[in-house]
Amino acid sequence: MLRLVMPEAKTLRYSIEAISNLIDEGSFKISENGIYMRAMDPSRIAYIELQLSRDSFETIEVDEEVSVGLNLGELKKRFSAAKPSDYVEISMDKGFFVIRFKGKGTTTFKLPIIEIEEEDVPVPNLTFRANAKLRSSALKEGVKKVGIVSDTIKFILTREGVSMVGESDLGEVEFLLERGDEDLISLEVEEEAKASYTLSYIEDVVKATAASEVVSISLNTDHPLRMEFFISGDAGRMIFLLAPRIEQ
Amino acid sequence: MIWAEKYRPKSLREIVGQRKAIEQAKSWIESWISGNPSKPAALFHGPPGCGKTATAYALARDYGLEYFELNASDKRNYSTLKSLALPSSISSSLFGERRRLIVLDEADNLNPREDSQATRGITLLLRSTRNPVVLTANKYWEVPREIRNHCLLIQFNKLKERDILSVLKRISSSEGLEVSEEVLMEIARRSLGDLRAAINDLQAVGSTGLDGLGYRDREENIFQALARIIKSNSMQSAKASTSGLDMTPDELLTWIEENSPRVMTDLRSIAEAYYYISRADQFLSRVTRRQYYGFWSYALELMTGGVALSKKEIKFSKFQSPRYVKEMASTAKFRRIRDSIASKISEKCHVSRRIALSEYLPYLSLMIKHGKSLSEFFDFTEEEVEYLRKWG
Repeated sequence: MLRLVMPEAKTLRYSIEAISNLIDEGSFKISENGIYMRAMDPSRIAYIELQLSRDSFETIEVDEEVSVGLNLGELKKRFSAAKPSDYVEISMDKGFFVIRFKGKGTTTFKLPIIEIEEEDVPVPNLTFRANAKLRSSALKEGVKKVGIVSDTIKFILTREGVSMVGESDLGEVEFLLERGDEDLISLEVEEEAKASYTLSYIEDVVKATAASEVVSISLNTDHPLRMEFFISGDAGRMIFLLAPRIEQ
Repeated sequence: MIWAEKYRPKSLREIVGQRKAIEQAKSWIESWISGNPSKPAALFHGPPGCGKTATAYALARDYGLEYFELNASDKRNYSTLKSLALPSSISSSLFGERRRLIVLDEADNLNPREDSQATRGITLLLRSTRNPVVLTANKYWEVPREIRNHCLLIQFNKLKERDILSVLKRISSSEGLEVSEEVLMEIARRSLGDLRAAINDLQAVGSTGLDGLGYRDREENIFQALARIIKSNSMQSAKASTSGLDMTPDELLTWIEENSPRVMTDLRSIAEAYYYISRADQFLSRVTRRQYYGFWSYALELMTGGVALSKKEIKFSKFQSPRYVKEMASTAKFRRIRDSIASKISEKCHVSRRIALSEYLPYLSLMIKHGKSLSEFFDFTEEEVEYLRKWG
């Protein structure tokens, strides 16, 4: 028996959109504690972890933990077909992952479950000395503005605020959230930090902001970046790690 | 586990017979670490099995670099290189502050005309990389010049028999093999300087004994492989059971087809198994028709995993060699006659031999069985016979 119900499709829809551009296929662990997935992108510079606890679901009936391998591109297409407000029910049927949306009529998708080579995804072990919590919409805004000028984004965390900087032959751009800005929820900086990252990876992952109100950003100078998106309060989270660009 | 992997050198110290190449590789990587790389990439070239990739791997371990390999030839197009290798080449590792070592295997397998896009991608990669890149090739002159120009060429020598022998001795003692020195020397001699081949041979000899090589060994292997395939509970393990099996997928399919119904207990599973067998067979015929061996992989998955996952229960039964093969042998004479009939019809009637067999043969056979001529068979009237005589 496996049946999970979510009153609104948007959480799954937007979190899947965020990861499907980075990873082709994923193995989802489904148990009575919810849904869990982690993976590294093929170029091995990004790591993604998605946890949707049982509080994210209205109903959760799972007899035993299962691992379900799915093609994320296909999964994304199915969820894109749903309205964010659709009611979602997930079940399994003989080799198929069954997704049912109720909104305008009832749509049932059956998606083949694929076998995924069980790869030991190592968990990068990192500690950070600069942390900020901000509204996800502000992160999205900053990423968008940097993208106008550059394909690299530099995050700078100081005791005064968070800034996102882009530099290229076309000039420079800075998006700044000063301490006290209502979009900057908290800022803890033991040591100021800055590092640059490939923007396209972050553009992909900020799609999750549609399912998340708050994101925390952690950083050390020239070290990997950690972003944690909080989904529906504290019921779910998406953790994203990205290796920095090597400065010349 | 394959010994060639199990005993893959973990440090440069374990690599035999390449002292000069290793010195060059070390000073190149040190130039990277000190921030002043002499060349963005190093091209390790030399004969197969002499330690090129092993050196790259050991180099990464000795200098604390993350090893990132891009080997499969299907990834060698411009867009993959751009989307996958390029971000990887300008980023440091996710694991702390380490750099990464990017390895592109078989850089001489780029056909300059067909893979000009790949060449362009690699050149771009070498121009922009901020991480050391190692390319490997058997023949450096077959690596496109645009790529070679960015590389430090490091030559690897063909290994000497005594180097190979020393590794074989080390492995056989740590595996507790009782193999005489003469056998090891024979393996080393036959390897022609290819250490990987020598280690594979040693493993084969070690698991079956020298007497076991040859036909008997093969028969034993297919029985073991069949048992493993049928017992598997996942696609992966079913397919893995065939690795090391020296048999074409076509042959393997006849064995699976013969034996699946013997060990499965209920009819539904047998039906399901045959469904996958027939799908596998379709792909095998596409292999022949399109001369595209990539379909072998689909056929293998269907015939191993498909069949393994069809079963519910299995009972003990002795595996048998395929009747198909025996029957083909016993019907050889009839088939020869049939084929010669087909060629004769085909010549006179201007049709293919296949059409001759499917369209003409049944009628001819009926006519001959009833001892009738053509006009008798079709029941033509005299008028009709006359018409036919004058026609055209």
